[in-house]
Amino acid sequence: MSRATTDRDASPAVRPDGAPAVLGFGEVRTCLIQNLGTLSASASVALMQLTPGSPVSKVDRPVRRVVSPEQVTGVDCRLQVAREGRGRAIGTVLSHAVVTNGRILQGTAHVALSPASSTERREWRHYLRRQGVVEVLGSPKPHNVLDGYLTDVTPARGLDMASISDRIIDEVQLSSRLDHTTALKAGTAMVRWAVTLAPDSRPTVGIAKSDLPNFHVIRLSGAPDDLPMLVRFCEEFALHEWLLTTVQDVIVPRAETDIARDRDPLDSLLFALNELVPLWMPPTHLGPDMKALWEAMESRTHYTRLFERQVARIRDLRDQVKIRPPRRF
Amino acid sequence: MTAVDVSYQEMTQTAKVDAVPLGHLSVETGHLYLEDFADADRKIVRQLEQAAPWLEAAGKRIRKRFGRNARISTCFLVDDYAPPRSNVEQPKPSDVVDIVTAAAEQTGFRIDYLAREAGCAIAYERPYSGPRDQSPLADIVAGLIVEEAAVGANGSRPPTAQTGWLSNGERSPAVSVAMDAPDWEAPEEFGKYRHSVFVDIELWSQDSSERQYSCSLLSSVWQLLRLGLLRNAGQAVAKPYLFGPGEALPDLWQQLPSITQLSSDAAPFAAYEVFSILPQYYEAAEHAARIIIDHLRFDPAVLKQTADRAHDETNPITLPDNPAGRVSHLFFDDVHVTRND
Repeated sequence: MSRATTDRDASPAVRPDGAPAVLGFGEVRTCLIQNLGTLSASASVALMQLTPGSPVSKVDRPVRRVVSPEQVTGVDCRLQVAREGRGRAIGTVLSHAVVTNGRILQGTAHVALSPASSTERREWRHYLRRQGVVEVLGSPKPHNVLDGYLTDVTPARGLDMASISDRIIDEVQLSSRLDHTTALKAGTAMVRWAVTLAPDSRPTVGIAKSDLPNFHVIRLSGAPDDLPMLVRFCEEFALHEWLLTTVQDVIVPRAETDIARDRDPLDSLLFALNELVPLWMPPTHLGPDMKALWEAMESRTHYTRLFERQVARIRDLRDQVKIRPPRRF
Repeated sequence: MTAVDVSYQEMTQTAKVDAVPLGHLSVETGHLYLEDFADADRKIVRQLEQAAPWLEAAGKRIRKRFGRNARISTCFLVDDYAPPRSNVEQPKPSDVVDIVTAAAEQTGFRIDYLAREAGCAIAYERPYSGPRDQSPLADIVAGLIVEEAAVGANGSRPPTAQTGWLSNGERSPAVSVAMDAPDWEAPEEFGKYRHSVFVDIELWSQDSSERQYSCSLLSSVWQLLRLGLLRNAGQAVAKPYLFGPGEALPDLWQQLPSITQLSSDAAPFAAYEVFSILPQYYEAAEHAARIIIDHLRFDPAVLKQTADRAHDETNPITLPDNPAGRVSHLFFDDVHVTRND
């Protein structure tokens, strides 16, 4: 790969919007905010003010969702390409944090890939004009680039979306506005996604649970204009997947063990009922496309039914504890 | 029953971006430290005398293009941010306004706006501004910097702009002791043409708990204000303040608005083209400011708004894509002619 000599942007006023994106990549981390209490609306907004002077977006219904301004990271790296082909990606990756109901924190990194507008690296401000786009030099086949990204290892050999989403989570969790304790020990869930973009493509979704714990891989397709909706879909999937996993693999087994050992499981059961269960709110209200996508996903995975079953189990356990209180407190 | 279309939307703060008034040309006619006013008008008269012919030429050029009603404004920057280098008592804002106005008159033009450098670090919208009408402009601009990616950067490392430095290239690897490092590697400017001009800019230093912003960063804020490109959550910032007829200027500089309008019929402060006529010692900081501006991610809505308005002028103007392309400079020389009269 030759070292860059810049194509000087000689002609002003020609605004090359560049070729449309052919791929979109992203990674979402989901975890609990390290704060004992639930954050208020204003505390959530203050926490998400990662860039002074840029607006934080806040929506109150159906659940309160506060989103930080997009952060921008410059990259110029080799792409991890499966099978054959080489590519170099130059541009910027966006990342933002999301706080849901003052409890759950998500860090998302996302980027669109489009063919390069020049055969060499251009002036930096050219890339700053298309924030969240990397231009790909070389012409690897899109499906090879997509497979390469989805199967990349840690530490990443290609675009390191994992580190970028990790960093935004760390930046928020280290904030002095938090007390750095949590009401529940729960893990961080990771979702890596990639979308194939084509002008007339209808949205499709394929979800695979990886053999790595708490790790899901999603393959999507859609039109370039669908990208923001698909980013949101993946965030919503990640949130609901985290809720289901936390209730099913953490809350319920722990309570069962507690009851078996005559310890009081009530705190975590009530935490689940009061703080986590209300967050189950599939994003079908966002629009017909999102509704269609989510319902199609539900019809395969039955996530809502699985979650309801876990919630019923939690209520059973709670009732058991009430009828026969544990001896050891 | 027929299906009902229902929509539900929540307003977030994202929607609105203020527009600011824009002229054709803004000319910075000088830049002085507060202590430069210690010997009254000697320094300022010299600066304004140097600037006068260039100001006239620039005005002629703009009027030729846009007609006699071209909107041209002049401004002057006073540095009240740097700690004073001597113990000379600082002149009061009203004294400086008098000196500047008189000196300009003597050289044959008018200064429309007086700005102060500390007002570029934090915007003060009116006299005696409280925290409610202040915006942390230097913090905002520092937060918009996107460092240029080195070849090989894949996102795994945090950006180094967080350390308070921005460079236009790849630094040479850290060298601890010359003896240990026989293989010195040269730094390299990104996108160099044959040879590098590598620049490493200190954006701020940390004084105990407070950031002291560098002259370079504050110069970039100043140019961005003149270009009309800064907003705080979509709101216009550091709008010029015109004191009423009976309204006295405050006694302390930190009580003065960022930008004081000196003449009631002045053309807008911000403009499509901005021109700075400065002594040579500002050249390095101005170059650094340009590099900073080239590394900013602008709100596309602000850029579009500005470009559209330029296009809708009676004589349509096509602005370049890069905001720094709207800034020009003249650094006058130190040659001093002694007059024998």
